[in-house]
Amino acid sequence: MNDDFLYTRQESPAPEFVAELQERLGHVDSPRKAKRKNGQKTFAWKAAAAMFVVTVLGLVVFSQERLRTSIINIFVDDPNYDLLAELDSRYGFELPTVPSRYQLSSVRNMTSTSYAASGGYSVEIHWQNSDFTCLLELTAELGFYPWTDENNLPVEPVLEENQILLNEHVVGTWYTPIDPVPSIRRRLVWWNESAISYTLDAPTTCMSLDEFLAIAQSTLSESP
Amino acid sequence: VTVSEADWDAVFQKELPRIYNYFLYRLNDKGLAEDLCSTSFIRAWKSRDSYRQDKSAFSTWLFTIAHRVAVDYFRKHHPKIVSLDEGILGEGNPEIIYQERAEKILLGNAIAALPEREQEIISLKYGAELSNKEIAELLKLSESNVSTILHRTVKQLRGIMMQQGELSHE
Repeated sequence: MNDDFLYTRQESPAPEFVAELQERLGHVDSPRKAKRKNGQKTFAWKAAAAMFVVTVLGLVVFSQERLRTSIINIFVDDPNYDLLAELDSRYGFELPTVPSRYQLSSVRNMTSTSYAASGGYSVEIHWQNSDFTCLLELTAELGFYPWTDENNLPVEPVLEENQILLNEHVVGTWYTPIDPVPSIRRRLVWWNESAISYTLDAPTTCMSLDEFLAIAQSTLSESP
Repeated sequence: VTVSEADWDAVFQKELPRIYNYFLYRLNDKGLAEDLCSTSFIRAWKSRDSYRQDKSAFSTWLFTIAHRVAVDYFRKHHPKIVSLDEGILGEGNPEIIYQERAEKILLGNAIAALPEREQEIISLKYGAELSNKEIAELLKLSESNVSTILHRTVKQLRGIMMQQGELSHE
């Protein structure tokens, strides 16, 4: 089928736009470069500010979080994709170096919410320390795409400011679609069907996702 | 592995027109395309240290950022439908310019009227000129699925353009 007509919308970007963007990029440093320039003083100040914000938010939401049952804990390594720019641009945090191993997270069924009526699930990403980078990369590692909002419209897993907690370490809640791709569906359904009554203790050392899933499978199959 | 400073100029020259045209197709608005194009490049530039060559091609990484920027935008906005009377015709033969412009506008409007996923795929294919494989990787679809959607959507757009008299039957 001749599709040449579809290329006719293409245009070259205006030279003045290109020049302006190049100029702007020349004034933007990467987070790490800026960190090196500014030294630990800036980092400490921003970290303190960030801790204050999450502490306040944590106090607000902590009481609600305690009522919920943590279902499953997973450990993921091998980061897939960098989303740290997202956090950096939204919150202005100085982000740490990407770690090789990742921290605690959890997945839970949202049957107690109205959203469950439409058949979706939500995933809440948790972590054990203040390493923001790992949380974001976890979402990409698990490939929870495409995400939808409560109206089943596609969205990106964007962190909401009021979902950052300190005590329970909830970083974000995102929704999977009603009809996710098959591999994702299997994973989520498995968690939904099997994991509700169990909480796996977090090992003292991190493990890969595969290792974790093997342990989780074994634990759940042995349970009554 | 990160993109070296020396490589960045080459990357910028190569990828900027593709990213820009992706947004142009997606947004149907030059000004907005420039804005979101800038946002994408600034995000990429700021996090360039974290790009890992062993994970994906740089263009894939860059388009993933652009895709996110577009999705963020469309959480709050809809694609623009442009009137044929909008804008300045420019210099040259007014009749030819009008005809070319009308074709672009009608095509832009036809794309803007497509469902979200189809718009995205058309923009990546014909705006950014990504391969079906690259689109599949970016959107987490199978390559055959992308091909099927493209075939169906091109047929649909072709029908719309023929109805509007902008394409002849071949």
